[in-house]
Amino acid sequence: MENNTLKNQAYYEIKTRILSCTFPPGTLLNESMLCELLSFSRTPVRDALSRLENENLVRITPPKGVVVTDITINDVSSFLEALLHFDPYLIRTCPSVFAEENCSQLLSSGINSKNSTNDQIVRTFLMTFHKILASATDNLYMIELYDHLANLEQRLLHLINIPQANYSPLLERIQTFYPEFQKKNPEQTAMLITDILKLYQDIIIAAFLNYAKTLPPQEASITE
Amino acid sequence: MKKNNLKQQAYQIIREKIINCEYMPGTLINESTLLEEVPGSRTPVRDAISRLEQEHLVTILPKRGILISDITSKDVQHFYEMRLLLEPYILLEYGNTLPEEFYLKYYLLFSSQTPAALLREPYAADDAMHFSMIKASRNNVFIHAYEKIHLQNHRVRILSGTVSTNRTQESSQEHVRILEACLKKDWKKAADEMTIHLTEAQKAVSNMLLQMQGDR
Repeated sequence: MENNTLKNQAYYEIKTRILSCTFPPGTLLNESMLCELLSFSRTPVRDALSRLENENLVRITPPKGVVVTDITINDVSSFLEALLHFDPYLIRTCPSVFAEENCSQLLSSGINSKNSTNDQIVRTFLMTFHKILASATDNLYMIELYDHLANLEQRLLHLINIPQANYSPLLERIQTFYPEFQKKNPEQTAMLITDILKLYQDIIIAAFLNYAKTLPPQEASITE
Repeated sequence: MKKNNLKQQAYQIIREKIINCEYMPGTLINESTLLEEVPGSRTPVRDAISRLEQEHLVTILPKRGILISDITSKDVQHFYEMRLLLEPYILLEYGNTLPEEFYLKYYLLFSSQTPAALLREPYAADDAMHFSMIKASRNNVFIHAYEKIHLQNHRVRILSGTVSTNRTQESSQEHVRILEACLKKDWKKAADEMTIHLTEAQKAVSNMLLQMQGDR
């Protein structure tokens, strides 16, 4: 079983670097470089890369190319459309979204802490809420889809730069969300989260377009 | 270069056999069986198996072998839940981005009495039509999710053998009604017909799966 531990380690080491954009989108990786950097042998690194490929985090093009998957404006709008489509559905169809422990989990996610910055509060809220949604369904395809969205979101937020002030309107809405969520009314909750996500969409897309301007032209173009 | 070809080959050969149910769902096979099926040594086979495990097509049971993933009625319920969520929505929102010729082509195909193409490959046209509709959304997240569902869907169909002629006919008629609405650009109606079609398909598949499990 030692083999599996090594494989998992290699997988998490590389994945962490991709999610935190230590390896930004478009980075060319290769096996030997990764083996040396992480002091692993080839087998666990190879295994890790194929797992990451399955999660759409790298693209492997034989013979030797391994590229960290790009993030295009199309990915960004796909991500937000998916949230806008699936969040309300899960809220309406999975009663366990409103379980007591979820309420307290959401409340303790830092909304009231005075030391947190706007972006920390908003991000923690959304992350916690999406974890709650994904754990409320037993549909593996849905759970995988939410994993996929969480990975994309994490990478995206490392790339783009959102001024703290832009988070203010979102923060206000999140504050009105808590008391409503505790009333356990699915319709109302679905409406409020849609409202929040639409605002989030505007902020994210504006920030991504700014980021895209900083890229060399060929990389900023939509590869579609 | 060569190594990668062997890996890719091993992966594709084994994957094909799983998807086409040559390795039956729920059965246990061992590495040596696989070694006889593909060119090359253990390494490409192991590599292939670990990739297939990530696609949920097999589970590696240490010291016991490789379990070909089973398909349960729960799985069927789950992938139809996803299809019902995606396909009517996409028709409603993006139906108008596909050209009229697209709808006309499938309309003619599904409404003809004994379409030669349907007899040869009963699911090819069906699959192609549904997948093109998903792609019309240009949403990578939706497309990626659909690809995974599609794989399992295919296995269920093979597993349950040729679907009864009745169901094939009904399904063609449902397709015709969807496409009629699309040609009239009545996207609301098209989405509703899609919901009906998927609900009926789910019923048929679930029943078949239940029957088979009874037979086993």
